[in-house]
Amino acid sequence: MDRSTPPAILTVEHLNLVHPVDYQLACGIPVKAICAGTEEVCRVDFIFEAGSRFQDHLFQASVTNQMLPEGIPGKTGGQIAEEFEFYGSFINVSADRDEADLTVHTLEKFLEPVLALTREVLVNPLFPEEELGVIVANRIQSMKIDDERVETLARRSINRALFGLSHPYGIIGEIQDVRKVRRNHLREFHRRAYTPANCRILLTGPHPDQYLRLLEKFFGSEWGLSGERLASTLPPIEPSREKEILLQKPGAVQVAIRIGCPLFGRKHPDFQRLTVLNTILGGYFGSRLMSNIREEKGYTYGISSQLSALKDSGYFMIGATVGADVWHQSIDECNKEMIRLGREPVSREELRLIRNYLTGQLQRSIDGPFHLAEQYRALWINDLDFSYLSEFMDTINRITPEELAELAKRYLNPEYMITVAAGPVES
Amino acid sequence: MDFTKHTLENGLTVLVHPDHSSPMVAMNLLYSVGSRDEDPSLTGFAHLFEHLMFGGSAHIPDYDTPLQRAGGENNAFTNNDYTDYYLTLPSQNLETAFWLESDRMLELNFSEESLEVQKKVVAEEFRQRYLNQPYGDAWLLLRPLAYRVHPYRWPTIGMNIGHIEGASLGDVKSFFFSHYAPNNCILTLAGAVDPDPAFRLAEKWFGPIGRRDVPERNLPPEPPQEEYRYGEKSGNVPSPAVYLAFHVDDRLSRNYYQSDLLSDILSSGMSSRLFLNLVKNKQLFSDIDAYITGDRDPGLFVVSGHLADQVQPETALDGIWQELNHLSQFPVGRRELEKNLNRVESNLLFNNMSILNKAMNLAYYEWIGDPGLLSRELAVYRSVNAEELRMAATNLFRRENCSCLVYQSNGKK
Repeated sequence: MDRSTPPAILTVEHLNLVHPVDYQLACGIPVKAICAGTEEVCRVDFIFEAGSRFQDHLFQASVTNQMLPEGIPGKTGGQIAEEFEFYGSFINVSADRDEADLTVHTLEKFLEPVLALTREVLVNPLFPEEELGVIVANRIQSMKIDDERVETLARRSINRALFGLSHPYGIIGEIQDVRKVRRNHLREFHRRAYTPANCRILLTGPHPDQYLRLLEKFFGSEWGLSGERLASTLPPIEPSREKEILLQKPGAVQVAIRIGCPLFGRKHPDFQRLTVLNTILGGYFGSRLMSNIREEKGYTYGISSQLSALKDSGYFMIGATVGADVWHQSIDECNKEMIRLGREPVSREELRLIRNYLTGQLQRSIDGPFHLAEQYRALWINDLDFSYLSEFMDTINRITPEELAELAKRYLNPEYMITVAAGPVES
Repeated sequence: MDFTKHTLENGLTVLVHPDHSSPMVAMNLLYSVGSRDEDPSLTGFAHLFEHLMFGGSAHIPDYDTPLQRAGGENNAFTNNDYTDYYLTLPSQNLETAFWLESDRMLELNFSEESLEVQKKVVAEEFRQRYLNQPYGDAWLLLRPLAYRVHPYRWPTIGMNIGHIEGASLGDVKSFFFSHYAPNNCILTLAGAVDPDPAFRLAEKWFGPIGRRDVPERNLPPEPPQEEYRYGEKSGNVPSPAVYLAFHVDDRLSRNYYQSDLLSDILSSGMSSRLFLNLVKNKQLFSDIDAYITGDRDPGLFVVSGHLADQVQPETALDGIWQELNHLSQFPVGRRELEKNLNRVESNLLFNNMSILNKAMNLAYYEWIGDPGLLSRELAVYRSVNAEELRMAATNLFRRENCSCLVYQSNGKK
């Protein structure tokens, strides 16, 4: 048989997009309901504009979020956890720079008691002093461990360098700042940020009509402050003037490198096209950076680049942990690859591969109810919807080698980059 | 989960689970070879080999490029027991997956260049995961403490970087032909695919590959541990950590379910005993975990945690032993047991939702001997009662069944 000729390949032409149904609770909270899934399980995302950009004190946003399930009238944190766990449900809290979430995964049959408890957790958290003490102490311990990693040192450093030390996206707290978190900061932030006006809810599962009824029951009437959405205008970013930052970490056997520059969020007209370019450079296993620095030279176990979208900004970043004796060469190769993207148009063959890979990725990213929910959440917080993905399909299929080279020259010029290396880096 | 099974003449087992709610297909190939099958002087080899499987095969110079061109994505992992290769791709390009996977089962291109590069890559992986992380080498020390004879005494990455760096192309070839064989592999598919066309494709692409001589596995069993073992390591870490390892029975024993439930009672969720009692109330640990390794041969029940500020390892270990002894003395209450069984039910369901998880699970359960067990396992868990758990704990949490590693902080910044 002929094993040398590959089977014929068909390109994904069409995405099976399940558009959510729009709904509004009586108290005004916007709800999107996605009907998806074959198992009787569902997911509810409570999304608040309560990320760190809205805080007055370092760690205020993330500790408030983390402590929501740590005590309500009549129940300790342990009792709350016991109840959720008895129903086999999972609640996760997470806070980033723009949003803070509480996400529930549960069997449908337990949704009612689970939502009843979730309401108390979101509306009446007590932030007990004792639990706060434990959380602060444990966070300090885990930060101390994290600080031993070269990857942590490099990440924190470039984050500050990209946005500036006084910009809300660039401020990163240290151990001494965690110690300053006070209970009244948490109560104040909760009162201000966890309100219907500041909330949206995403429902995903096979029977959204049933969930909506329950949601109306527990969250429909007025709760919390009936205030406005939190506003926050960000100052302009102030990237570091220092272009190369070396962080000594004696004893480390590898060097973490980060190379990046500030860019923009998802709504920028070049964001989608730049996503295609980033994929070629370092966005998948067969990327130029992986082929060159891992598969050809063996300098690293893994290297990648990413475009990170924040609500009002964004950045491009290459990251890798490399051998201590080849960190300089690794950075040089990254720069060479960026320059090459601007100088030589991508071949037809590589572009075809990227198109098929990316459309396959798009299909994968919306396969199954929970992937759908994650994708929709990422779009919705930017006031976008699934039509964005259809447009992205068009962009992927229309973009030309010349446009890609043009974009590389405009955005991925090594001269614009800030480079951080952490590890045994005596110059 | 429904499935259809078919075995080719060369011994390749194929299982298909149709799920047309997805437009994609997941394919999983489980080769029954892991680090336990390695020569003690060539440890880390099964994992290094996994890397080489991407370096090109008899008729295809590079595995990844054609798969990506077909819209696919893939990865692989190696553990003590087996090596697993998995991919997902749009269903219309399913044949590409058969073409790629059958060619690398037929024969690798055994390139010296690929071997040299992947040795470096794996050495960097060793450094990144085990040497350049706080506490990263704990498992390199805990395994030889708990196992004296069985090959579980070394980790998948290998005992040391030297073993990997010494691998030759001759070693690679002999490893391939003695372990990578249709009769040593399980292939599963889940997603937008039906059994008959899938079996036809399997016959077409894998059928011509001949059966190979796979050496019979004859591993020395670990003799029962008869004395408490203690090890210490001092390193550049901010606070001490402790690791306790107890021997448990193999994956097919009833003891597996008992141990798994005991580990859940101890540390699954924020209302679990270790978290509530040792992290929140006594504040001995900043985090703590209990879990079973789940290996095919008799494995380990592990309790490990990072100490809270200013806590001495002896105090922390006492705290753990109090909890373990409590499980040996008193049966778990009804509601607590019910809570943990409900969590098992949820976990089994949530871990079997995506087509990729379904394909991986189907292959794993076929490998342990019964793909139908996936649907029946919840009933096995539910049949375990409180008194049975107490007896299992009594038998498990004995000092002479315990290996203890204390990772001390050397206090240097």
